[in-house]
Amino acid sequence: MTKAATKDAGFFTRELLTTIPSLRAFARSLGATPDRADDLVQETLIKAWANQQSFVQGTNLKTWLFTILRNTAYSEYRKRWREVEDADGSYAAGLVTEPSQIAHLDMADFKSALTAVPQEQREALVLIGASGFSYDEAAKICGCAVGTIKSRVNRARQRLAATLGLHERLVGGVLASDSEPSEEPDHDPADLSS
Amino acid sequence: MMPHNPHLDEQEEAPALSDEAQKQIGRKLRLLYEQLEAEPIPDKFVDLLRALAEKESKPR
Repeated sequence: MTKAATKDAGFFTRELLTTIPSLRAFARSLGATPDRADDLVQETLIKAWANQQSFVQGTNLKTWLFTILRNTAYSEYRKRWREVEDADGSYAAGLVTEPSQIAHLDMADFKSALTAVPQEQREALVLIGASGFSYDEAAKICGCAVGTIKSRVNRARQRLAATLGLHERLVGGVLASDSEPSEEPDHDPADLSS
Repeated sequence: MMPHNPHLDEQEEAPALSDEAQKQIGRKLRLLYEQLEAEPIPDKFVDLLRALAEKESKPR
C-alpha cells in the first residue's frame, strides 16, 4: 500500500467514525429497533470500507454512507416493512430514547404521530428535516427525483400536522383538498399502447 | 394510529401549513433525532474500524 493510500485510509476511518451517530439515528428513524439499527450501521461500515475505492473524492461522504445504509435496510426489510408497517409497534419501540429533561408527553405524541407517516415520506422528512441533507442529496440517497422528495416531505408534514391536530389552526382548505381527485393514477395503465 | 387516508397520501397540492405548525414539527423532529444522535458510539464500532484499518495496513 502506498503512503498516500494509508493517509486516505486514516481520513476515511475518522470520517466513518464521526458519521456513526447520524447513521444510527437515521436507521432508527427508518424504523429499525436499536439492535437492528446497530446491525445496519455495522453492515454499512463494512460495505463502505470494502468499497472505499468507489467513493468519489470530493463528493459528500455522509451522503454516500446514508445511501449504503438505506440500500442495505431496504434490500433486507422492504418487504417486511411494507407488510407490517408498524402493526406490531416495533417502529415506536425503535424510537425509545434515553431519559432526558425534555417534555416526555409532548415527544411521545410526536413519536406516535411519526409512526403514522408512511415509510418513504418519513425517511424524506428525516433526511431533510433532521439529518441536514439538501433536497438534492436526499434525492440521491433515495434514488428518486428532487420533486419526489419535496412531495414526500410535504405529505409527511401534512400527515404529522393532521395527526397532531395542528391543522385546526388553519382556515379550511385541508378537508376540501381531500375530496379532490388524485393527480396520480392509483394503478399503472395495463395497456402500453401508443 | 390514524386510519389510512389514501387521499392524504396522493394529494400533490396540499395547502401550506402554518408557520407555527411547520416550526413545531421541525423542532420536535430535530429534538428526537438529536436525542438519538447523542447516544454514545458503542465500543464495537470503534473496534470494528480499528480492525478494518489494521487488516488493511498489513501486507499480505
